Amino acid sequence: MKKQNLITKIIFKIIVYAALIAMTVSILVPVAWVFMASFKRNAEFIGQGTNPWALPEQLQYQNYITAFVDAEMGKYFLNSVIVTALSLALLLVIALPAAYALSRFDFKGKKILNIAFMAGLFVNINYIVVPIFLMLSDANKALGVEFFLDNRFILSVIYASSSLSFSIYLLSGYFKTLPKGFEEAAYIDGCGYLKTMVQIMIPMAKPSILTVILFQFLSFWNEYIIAFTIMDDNSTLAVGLKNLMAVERTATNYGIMYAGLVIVMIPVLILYVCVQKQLTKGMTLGGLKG
Amino acid sequence: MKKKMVKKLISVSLVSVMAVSMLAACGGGSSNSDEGGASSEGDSNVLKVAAFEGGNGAEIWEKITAAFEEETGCEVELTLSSELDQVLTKNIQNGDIPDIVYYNLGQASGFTETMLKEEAVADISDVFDDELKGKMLDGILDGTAAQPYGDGKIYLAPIFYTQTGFWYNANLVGEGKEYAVPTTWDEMFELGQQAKADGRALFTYPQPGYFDATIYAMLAQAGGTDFYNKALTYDANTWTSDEGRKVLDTVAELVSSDNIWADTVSNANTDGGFKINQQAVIDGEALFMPNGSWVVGEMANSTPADYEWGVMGVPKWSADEDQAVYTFTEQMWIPADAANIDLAKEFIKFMYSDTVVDLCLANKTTNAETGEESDSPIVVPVKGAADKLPDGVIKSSFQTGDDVVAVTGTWATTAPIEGLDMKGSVYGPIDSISNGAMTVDEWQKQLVDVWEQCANAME
Amino acid sequence: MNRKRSQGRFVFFCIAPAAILVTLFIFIPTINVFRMSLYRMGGITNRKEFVGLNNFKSLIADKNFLQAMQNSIAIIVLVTLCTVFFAILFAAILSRGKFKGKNFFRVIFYIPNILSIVVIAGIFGAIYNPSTGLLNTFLNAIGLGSLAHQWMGDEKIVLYSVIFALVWQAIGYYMVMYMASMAAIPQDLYEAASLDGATEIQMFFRVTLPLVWSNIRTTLTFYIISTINLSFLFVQIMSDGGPNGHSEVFLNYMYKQAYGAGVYGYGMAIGVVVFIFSFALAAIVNKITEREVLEF
Repeated sequence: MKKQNLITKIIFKIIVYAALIAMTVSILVPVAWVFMASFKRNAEFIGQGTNPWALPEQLQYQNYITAFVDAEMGKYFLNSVIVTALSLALLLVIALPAAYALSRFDFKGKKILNIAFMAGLFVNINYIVVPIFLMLSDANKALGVEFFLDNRFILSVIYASSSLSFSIYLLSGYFKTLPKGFEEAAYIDGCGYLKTMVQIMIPMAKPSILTVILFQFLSFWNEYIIAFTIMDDNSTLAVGLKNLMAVERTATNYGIMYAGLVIVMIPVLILYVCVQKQLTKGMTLGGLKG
Repeated sequence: MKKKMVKKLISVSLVSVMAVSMLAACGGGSSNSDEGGASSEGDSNVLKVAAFEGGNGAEIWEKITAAFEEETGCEVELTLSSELDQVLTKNIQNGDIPDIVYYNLGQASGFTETMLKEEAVADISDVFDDELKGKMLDGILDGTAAQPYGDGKIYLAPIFYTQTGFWYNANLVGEGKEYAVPTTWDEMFELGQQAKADGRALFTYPQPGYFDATIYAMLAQAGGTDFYNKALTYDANTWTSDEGRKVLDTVAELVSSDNIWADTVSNANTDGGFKINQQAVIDGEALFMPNGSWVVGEMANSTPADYEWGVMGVPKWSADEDQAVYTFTEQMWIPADAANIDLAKEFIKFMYSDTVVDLCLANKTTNAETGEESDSPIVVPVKGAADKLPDGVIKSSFQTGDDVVAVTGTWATTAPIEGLDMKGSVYGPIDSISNGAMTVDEWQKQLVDVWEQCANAME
Repeated sequence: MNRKRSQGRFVFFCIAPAAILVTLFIFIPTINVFRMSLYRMGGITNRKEFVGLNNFKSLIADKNFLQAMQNSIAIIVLVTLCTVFFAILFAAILSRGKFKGKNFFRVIFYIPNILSIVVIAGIFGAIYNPSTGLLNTFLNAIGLGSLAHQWMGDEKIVLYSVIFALVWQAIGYYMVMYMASMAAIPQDLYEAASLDGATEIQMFFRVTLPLVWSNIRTTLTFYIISTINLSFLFVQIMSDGGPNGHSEVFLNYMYKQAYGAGVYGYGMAIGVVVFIFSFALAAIVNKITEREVLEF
C-alpha cells in the first residue's frame, strides 16, 4: 500500500517536472534564439538549407550599430527613460490619494465614482488615441502654440491617465484590507487627514505601490500607439523599434530587426533580474485580493 | 524614419530664363497659404514634398528635390517615411498639408484611395498639356490609375512605371534549360506536372495582393480591352461571364495544391514572409511568381551570383492571341488643400524632364547590412526611357512589340463602402482556394456581391 | 459637523485630480468615439456627414465583422480557459509542492509578460515559419515531422496558433498573481485537512480553489480586457488577419476600416460595439461566477 503510494508520488513528480521544464524551455529557447539571431547575417535567414538552429557564422555586431544609427535608438532611449519616470511619478501622486479616499471613506457619490473608474478599465486606448490627438491639436490651434503635441510631459500625463483606472482599482483593493484601527489611532493622536494618509497609510501600502510601479513601468516602456500618434522628434524607444521594423521589413534585414528587438528587450530584462525578488514579494504581500 | 531636409536657396547666378518663370510660380501660390494652419512653419515659398520611402530608397528623392531646387530656386522641404500614410494622416488632421505626395494606389493602408474618396485630391488635368502628353507613353494617362473617377479628369500623375508579369528562375527555365518557357496556360500546367515529378512546385506568390496585376492582365487577355474597362468600373456580368469565370478557374488551378509551393500561404500571412516566397523561386523550389522589376533589387541580398531572373507575360489561353501586359504605375498627387498648388504642378511637370528621367535610371540602393550599392533603375513613363536601360532582365521586362497590348488602371474609386475591404475580398480568397477551404463558386459569388456593392457606390 | 466638512474637503482634493484626468483623457475621447460613430467620414480631412445609426445597421450585415467577432470570442474564451487552467495548476504546484528550483521557475515563467508584444510577435514569427521555423525544424529533427503544420497558413490552425502565443505570454503573470493569494491561505487549514486524511488533490479542490476563487473572479475581467487588446496587437503584426480573414479580430478589423477603407466613422462604430461588448461580457462573467465569499 505504502509502496504503491510512493510510486504514484514519483510518477506525479516526474509529470510535474516535465510540465515545468517544458514551459521553461518554451520560454528560454525563443528568447535566447533572438539574441543569437541578432548576430546573424541576412543570408543566414532566408534561402534553401538555412538552419534556424545553426550558430551565427560570424558575429555580425554591425547589426547593432546599424540599428542604433538607423533608428536613432540612443535618443529614443533617453526619451523613454524620461517619459517612463515622469509618468510613474505622476501616476502615484494622483492615484494614491484617490485610491485611499475611495477605499477608506464613506461619502455621497462614492459608488458612482467607483463605477466610473471601473468603466475606465474597459476603454481601450487603441481607439481613443485619435480623439486624444485631435483634442491636443485643437488645443494647439486655439491657443496658437505648439505646446501640446510632441511634448514629453503631455505624453506622461496621458500615460498616467490611461493607467489611473487600473492603479486605483489595485491600490484601493489593498487599502481595503488594512484594519480600520490605524487611522483612528492616528486621529486620536491628533494627526490630520493628510498627515495620516501620507505618513501612516501610504507607507503601509508600499508592497502594492511597488506592484503598481513594476506593472506600469512595463506598460509605459513598451507602449507605442499613443507615443507614435502624438509624438514626433521626442518619441520613445518602442516607436523607434516600430520605425526600425517598418524600414527593415521593406528591406527585410532580419539580423538588424532582431538586433532592434534585443536593444528594446535588454533594459527590461536587466531591470527584471534586479527587482524580480521585490516583484514577486510585492505580489505576495500586496497582490490582488478580490 | 522621418527625415526632414530643408535646403537653402542655391546661388542665384544659376537661375536660367526658364527658371525665372518658375520663380514666379513660387510666389504665386501664396494666396491661400493661411490654410496651412497653426503648424505651417515658414512661408509658402517652401514646397512641401512628402514621399513614400519604399524599395526605391530615399536617395532618389533627395536628388530629385535638389535638382528641382537648383532648377527653380525654390526651397523644398522633403518628408520621407516608410509609413507615410500614418505620418500624413497625422499631419493633415493637424492642418499641416503637404503640397505634393508620392504614395501609390493599392497599398494596404489605402491612404491614396481614402483621399480620393474624400475628394481631397486636386484635379491636375491642366498639367498634362499636349506637349507633355505627346512626350509620355501612349495610353498611360487613360486608365483609372490616372483618372480614378473615370470622368476624364486626371487626378493622379503616373511618375514611374514597370511592367508586371510572371518572374521565374532563368537558371531552370528557358531555352536549353530544364524547362521551356510556356506561352499558354496549357503549356504552363504541363510544365507543372513535369516540375512536380522533379520535386519542384510550379508556382508561388509573395502575398495574395500580388495577384492584382495578374488578374488585370488576365481579364484583358480573356475579354479584350472593352471587357476589361467595364470590369474596372464594376460591370455586373464581369464574373458571371465566360471570360470572368475562365480567369477564376485558371487562377484556382494555378494555386491548387498540385501547382503551389506548399509554404506559400503560411509565408504570405506572416510578417516579412513574402520574401521567403520570393526566395523559393531563387532557390528553385518554385518556378514562377507574379511580381515586378523591383524584386531584383529587393532580393539582391540573398541572390547567389550565378542566379538569373527571367520574366514573361502572364500566359495566354491560345497561342495566337495578343499578349496583354499589365503596366504598374506609381502615382504622385496634390492635396486639394495644398498651399502651393501651382508650384506643385510645376514639380509634377519636372518629374517628366530629362533631368529626372536620367536620375531615376541611374538610381542605386544601398544594402543596410553590407553598405554595398546595387543598381535599382526606376523608369519614368516617357517615350524612350525604357530603351536607355542597360541590357538585362529589367530591360526585357519592359516588353514592347506589335502583339503586346499594354493594360493599365485599377478598380475604379467609389464612394466609401462600410465593411468592404477591396483587396481582402478580391484577392484574399486565393489563400483559401489554395488551401482547398473555398471553392471557385464561392469566390465567384463573393466577387459578384462586391461588384454589386461597388457599382451602387459609383453613382 | 466641522470634522465632516473637513473630511469632505479632503476627499474632494484626493479624488479631483484623478477624476479630472480620467474625464479629460479617457471619458471625453470615448464620448467623441461614440459621436463619430454616427457620422460618415474618412478620418483624414474634416468632411463628414451625419448618418444616425446607419453605421450600426451596416455592421449587422457585415460578414467580415461577424467573422472577426466570432474569432475574437473564440480567442477570449479559449485563452481565458487555458491560461486559468495552467496558471492555477503551476501556481498550486509551486506553492504547495516541495520542488527544487521553485523560485527559478517562477522567475522564468514571468519573462514573457515583461516583453513588448512587438518582441513576442517577432519571436513567434521565427517559431511558426513553415520551413525554417523553430517548431517545424524541431519536430522534424526528433522524428515527429508528421506533426509539422502550416501554423500561420492553415485556416483551421491559425486561430489556435494565435491563442497559443497569447496563453504563452499570459501564464506567468497570472500564475504569480494566484501564487500571491495562495500564499495568504493560512497553513493550518491544510494541516487540518491533512489530519482529516485529505489527499493533495482533495485539498486543492476543498481548500485552495475556494479560497482563491474571488481572486480568480477578479482576474477574469483582466482576461477579457487584455485579451482583446493583445490579440489585436499580436494579429496586427503577425498575420494582419490572414489567411482570408481567419485570424481577424475585431480591433484589427476596426483599424482596417477606420484607417484603410476610408470609413472612419464605421470604424468608430465597431469601437463602440467592442466597448459595449467587453463591458457586458465582464458584467455577465462577474454575475455567473458569483459564489458565497469564503473568508479565512
